[in-house]
This record gives sequence, C-alpha cells and structure tokens, in this order.
Amino acid sequence: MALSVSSIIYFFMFFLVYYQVFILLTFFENKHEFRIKPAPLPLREEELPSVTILVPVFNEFATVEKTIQSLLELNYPKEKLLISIVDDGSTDNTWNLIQKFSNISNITLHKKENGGKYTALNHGIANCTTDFIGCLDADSEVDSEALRHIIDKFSDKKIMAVTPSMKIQNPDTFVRMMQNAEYNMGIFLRKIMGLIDAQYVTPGPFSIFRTKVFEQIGNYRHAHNTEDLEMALRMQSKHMKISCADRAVVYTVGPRTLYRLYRQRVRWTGGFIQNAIDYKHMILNPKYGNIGMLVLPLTMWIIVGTMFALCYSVFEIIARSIKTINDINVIGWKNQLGYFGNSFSLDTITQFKDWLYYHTQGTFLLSIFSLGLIFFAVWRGRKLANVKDSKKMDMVYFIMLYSLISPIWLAKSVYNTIRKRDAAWR
Amino acid sequence: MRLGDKTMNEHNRKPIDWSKYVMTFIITSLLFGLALWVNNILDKSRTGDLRSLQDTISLNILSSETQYDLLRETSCKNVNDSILSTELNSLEQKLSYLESSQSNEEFNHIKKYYELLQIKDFSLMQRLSEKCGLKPISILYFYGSKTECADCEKTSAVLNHLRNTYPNVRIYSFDRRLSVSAVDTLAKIYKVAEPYPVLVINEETYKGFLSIDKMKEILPELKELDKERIENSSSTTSTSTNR
Repeated sequence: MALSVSSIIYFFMFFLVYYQVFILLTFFENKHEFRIKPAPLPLREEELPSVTILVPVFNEFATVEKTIQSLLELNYPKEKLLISIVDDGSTDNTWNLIQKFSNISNITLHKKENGGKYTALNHGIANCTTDFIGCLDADSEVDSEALRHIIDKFSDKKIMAVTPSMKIQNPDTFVRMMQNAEYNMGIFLRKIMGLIDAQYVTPGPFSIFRTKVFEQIGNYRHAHNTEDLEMALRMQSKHMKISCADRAVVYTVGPRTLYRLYRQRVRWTGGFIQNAIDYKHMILNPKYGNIGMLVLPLTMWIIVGTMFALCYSVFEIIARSIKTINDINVIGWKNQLGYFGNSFSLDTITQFKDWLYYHTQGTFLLSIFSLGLIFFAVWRGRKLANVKDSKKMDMVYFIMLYSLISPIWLAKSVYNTIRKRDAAWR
Repeated sequence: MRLGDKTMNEHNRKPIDWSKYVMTFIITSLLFGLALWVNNILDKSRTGDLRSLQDTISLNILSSETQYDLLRETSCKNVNDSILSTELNSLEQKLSYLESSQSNEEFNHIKKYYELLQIKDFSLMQRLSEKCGLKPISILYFYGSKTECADCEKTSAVLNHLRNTYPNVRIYSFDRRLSVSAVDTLAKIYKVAEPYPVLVINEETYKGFLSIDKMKEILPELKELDKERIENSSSTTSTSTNR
C-alpha cells in the first residue's frame, strides 16, 4: 500500500515539476523581457486611441468612489477616455453616491435591474463607441500610468487583449499579506503565460480589449460566475492573442478574512474547473498551442493530484486517530497521556537528533525544488511590477498557510463541480 | 490602430515548440533521477546506522558470553542483569519506525539478523538465570501480518507500553512472515503456531490478546515494580518537599 501510494504521488509530482521546469525554461529563453524598462512610453498623445472603461457596481458603497477617482487621475487625454459606470441594481446607497460624478463630461452613469456582473458588462459594451474597451472592478484602483502601458502593447496588431499586473491594496492583515505574495507570483506567471500564448484569464480589474473582440466572439456570459476566465478561454479557443503589460499596475482590495478568501477562491477555482470542462475540446489539442497542450491539461492534472494527496492525508489522519483510540482502549487513557508527555521528554528530543528518524523521500527533495521556484516567482513578480513592497512576512504567511488551506477550497470547488453547483459571488 | 479584418486561425498563435517539451521532459527526468539518487544515499546511510547498532549489540552479546564463560568456573556474585545488552530496545524502536517506510530486501535482511541477535540474547539470559538465579522478566512475542492477525496491533500497543514503563522487561518480538530457521526452532520448542499473536511468558505459551491487567496477573513482578515506582516517586516528592 505504502509503495503504491508513494508511486502515485511521484507520478503526480512529475507533472508538477514538469510544469515548473517549463516555466523556468520560458523565463531563461525570454530573460530580456524581464528586464525593467525605462518609464517613457513610445506613443504620443495624438496617437492614443479612445478607450471606454466600464465600472460594474453592485453595493460597492465603500470602494467605488476611490475606484472612479483613480480613473480620473489616469495619465490619459480626458477626451479619449470614457468612463461608464453601470449600477447593477444596487440596494445600498451606491447609486446616490456616484451621482456626484454625473457632471463630469467623460463619465456616464447607467442603472439597470440586477442580473449579475456579466449583464452589467454587456450593458456597457452595447453602448460602447470606442475602439478599445476595458473593465475595472469597483474594488480596485489603477496606477496613473497603467492605461498608457496597456495601450502601448496594442501596437502589435495581433494582440486582442492586454491584462495588467495586479497587486493587493494595503496588505494590512496576514490574510492580505498572504495574497500579496500570491499576487506577486501571479505577475510573474501572467508574464510567462503571455509569452507562451496561454493566458487563461483576463481579470476583471483593468483588462483592456479591442472592441472588435466582442463583435467577433460575442459578449460576456454567466460562465459559472467567472466571466473573465471564460472570456479568456473563448478568445484562446478562437486563437486571439492575449498579452500582459507588467508595468500597468492595478491595486485590488483582497478579502480581509480567511472565510471571505475561501468563498472567493471556491468561486475562482470552481469557475476554472467548470470552464475548463466547457472548453475540453482544447485540452491536449495541439491546434491550441501551449494552452491546449500544457497549461489546461497540467493544471487539471495537478488539481486531481492535489485531491489525491488531500484524500490520502485525510485517510492517514483518520487511520492514526483510530489507532490512537484503539491504543487508549487497550492500555488506558492515563498510560496514553503518559506517552504524549514522554513525547516531549529530553530522551525523545535526544532520540530525534538521530539521523535515522529524519525520514526523507525523493518527494521531499522535489518539494524543495518546487518551493524554490515559488520563491523565485514571487521575487521576480515583485521586481517586474517595479513596485516597492515593505511587507517582509508575506512570503512566510503564503508558504505556511496557503498549502494548508488551498486544498480545502479546492475540495469544495471539486464538490461543487460534481454537484453542478456554481459558487456564490459573495 | 484599428484591427485589420484578418480572420483568426491557429497561425495567429506561436507554433508549439516541441523541442522545448522534450527538453523539459529530459530536465524533469534528470531532477527526478537526482532526487531518487540522493534519497538512495540517505537510505543507505540509514541502513548503515542500523548495521552499526547491530554490531554494537553483537559485540555486547559476545562480551556477555565471554564474561559468562569466565565466571562459569567461579561464582555468580559478580553477575547481575546489567550483563545483558541494553541496546536491543533501541534497535527494536528504530526497526519499527523504519518498518512503516521501508520494505526492501536489505531491510528484511537486517530484521532477520536482529531476530537472531534476540535469540542469542534470550539464550544467554536463560543460561544466566539457570546458573546464577537471575530472574529477568522476558516475553517472547510472535506475530503475523496485519490482515491475518487482528489482535497483533493491540498486543503491540500493550508490549510497547510495557517496554516504555518497565525498561528491564526484555521483550523479544518475531515476525513470522520472515523465514528464519532459528525462529522456527524457537517456535517449535514453545509450540507456537497460528493464529497469531502468540506470547511466551515464563515458559508458558499464550494465544491471542492479553490485556495489561492479564499480563500483570501472569507476571506479579510487574505489580511489585509498580509498587517500587510509587514508593520511589513518593520518597522523591517528600525529599523535595523537605528541602
């Protein structure tokens, strides 16, 4: 049993390491792309195209004002920047609050019945008259140069959408610090995915599209409450190129508590699994390049592997608990307590200095390699966005807690997929 | 900067670089090979530790036997329990720890050697008992595979408890799945046969699970040891209170 389980773990681990080595090779192949480029942008003001930024809002009273303010502070000609705020039937004071922007010439306000974020986006797309269109979630703020960095990428005619670098705004709690490290890693990975034509999400905070994209492949869909993920997959399935502008920084408000983070991730992960199933014709199909041959199949496979490891760990914990209960039944709880006491005795500590008790397996050594690459990705992501981070503990929280809690939301997402259930937004 | 009316097809994306896939496979395989190689070295070093422990025990037994031979012609006044090797428990502990993670030929070989050492120790202990009237408490424990021996795990828990609580109790455990002819002979002497677990205590053979209370009934010495421990601990407490 022990041998076969470790063989299965090795088998899953091989694909994980394969994925990581592929990422590392891509990095070394394109090292010049990761050098920090000087700030000046090649496009002159008169060359800049008109852009519509949609801000879908639903009960965003606390954050929407700052979101709009950050858009108004963008270093972009006002006459070429249209801000369209779509209230998706808020039940709080959001609609009244945004009235204060109604007199600004490049801002339009719309209100519609509640129908979900994708309907609000489609409402905005229907009224769009510009060549480029983007979305900014009402819990995010943009850096003043972000739009120009993104528009610069569209100089390549083949590029149909550009994603930004996302960072956590004010990582004040340990949950947010953990996400801060994760988002830094995301910046690095998004860059890599862009380089291999394999981005599978155009995030709600400030992904910009050529308006033609929607004319050609249709509007946003419900897509298991992850419309940004489905849009990217649909674009990939139509061979539309998605790039990323690493210097275009967007700050988003990360969930403050573990429970909120769990809810968000159940929606994201569940959305990924269900959309990947909807686009299963792309999996292992060389016609779809690296996203079909590498990213989708390996990510799905790693999810299966993580589920296996989770089930095995739960099985082990139950088996050990049963053994402890049986031991208590046989030798009595007082004697068992004595053992627990002995576990902390000086003798035991001396005993564990013995090399023999350090049971290392090949998987352990490979995990060190994986962990090393995660550190590397976080560090490079931080450098790439060229933003100074003062939070030193974020990596510690990320490594220590993420591996413990992410299998839980993964399990729930898999469960939702099996039950054909979509996770709630909030 | 308008998009041309070019239809989108797979030529729009970069073609797959198959050589990169192969290169990734080679590097990943090398990394796996390296991890398994390092793991193998660590395993060998661990096995080496066990072997050196076995050598110590073997040396202890040889030394005890020589001491016994020297004393045989004279008296027993210089002989006590300390003549027996004290390392057996330590080796047993390490072997049971490794049993859960290793099941290769080399490990089985070490385990067989350990069983032979146990028999040698047991035999020396018996000779000392006859000659010098020593009464070390010893238990022979014969067990089988988990699937065929439902009570083996419970018995192991009881014996582990005895081993930890009474370090002077000598417990010799024999895995009947290993074919060691000396163990077969020992089993024949004490009429040990399936189903397991089988325990031999004071020359008597007991089949099936024995609880701690039952063990203490069979071995009243354990109750005396309990009393001694209680007395010792109360005297230690009173000494420290008087300070």
